[in-house]
Amino acid sequence: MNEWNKKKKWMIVAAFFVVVAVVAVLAAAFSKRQTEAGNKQFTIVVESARDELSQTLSCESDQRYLGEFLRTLEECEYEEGPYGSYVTGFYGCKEDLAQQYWWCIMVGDTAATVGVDEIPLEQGAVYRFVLKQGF
Amino acid sequence: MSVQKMTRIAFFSAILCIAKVILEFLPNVELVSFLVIIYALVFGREALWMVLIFDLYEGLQWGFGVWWISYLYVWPLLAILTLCLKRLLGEEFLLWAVVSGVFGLCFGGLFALAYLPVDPAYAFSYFLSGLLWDVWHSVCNFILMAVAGKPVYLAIQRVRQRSHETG
Repeated sequence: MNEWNKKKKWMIVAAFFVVVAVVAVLAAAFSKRQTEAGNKQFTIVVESARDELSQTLSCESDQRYLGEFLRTLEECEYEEGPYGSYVTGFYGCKEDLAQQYWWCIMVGDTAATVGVDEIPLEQGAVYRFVLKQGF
Repeated sequence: MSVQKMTRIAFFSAILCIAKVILEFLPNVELVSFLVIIYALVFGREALWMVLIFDLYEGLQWGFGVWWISYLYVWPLLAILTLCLKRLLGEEFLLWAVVSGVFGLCFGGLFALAYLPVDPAYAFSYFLSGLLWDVWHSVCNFILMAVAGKPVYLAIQRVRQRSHETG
């Protein structure tokens, strides 16, 4: 069994917290999203194979985040949760978590890794909402 | 495998599940890392069975998606890491707190590995967007182990000894 003296232990703990602090600073820098001011034109595509739904909306807004815009879009149903706005349906086509149906948000062709309140609105961007089954 | 051993594995893996559910309302605060380390310290390689049964429960509860592939290697990896460090760290729970903290910090990255073959861009952006949560996960893991590590380890050790005496 290795003998650990107090000094050695606290040095390891201090090194750990230095690493954590560095990662926290880097993470904060990465998570800072640039938003564009002013009017932006963008497209919202809604697709649900279950409901045979495929709609494309040409939109315009001077809001900064997708979530802010969706709150004003009457075709969109959402809930306000502890982590912001959570999309539950479009055109009356609702998610069904019991059957593992959920709305996947995509920016272009890439699935978003954050919620709509953290996705910046960008000029010319395409935001897709695809109803998927299975977690 | 003896009935006693099977019962022990089922019991402690069920505790893992309950521990996960109990703290689900708090984002990235969890007892699973803490318990996996303690189980590996007390039960040795048997902890791997407990972790795998826990993974199975999670799949049954939430469905067997890509995330489940991550669970299949993330939690056993922590158990294996603990088994490897057991001789070196002994019962130094401040150092186990560092191990638990480092694991919390790496969790998002390890979890994202399963998404690499599916979509590397998604895996990378998932990892980056969750990095701040990994920091939070890390600090919480550290605190939990530093505060409760030794008493819980001793309590489970006692349960194990008693089950050996009666078994």
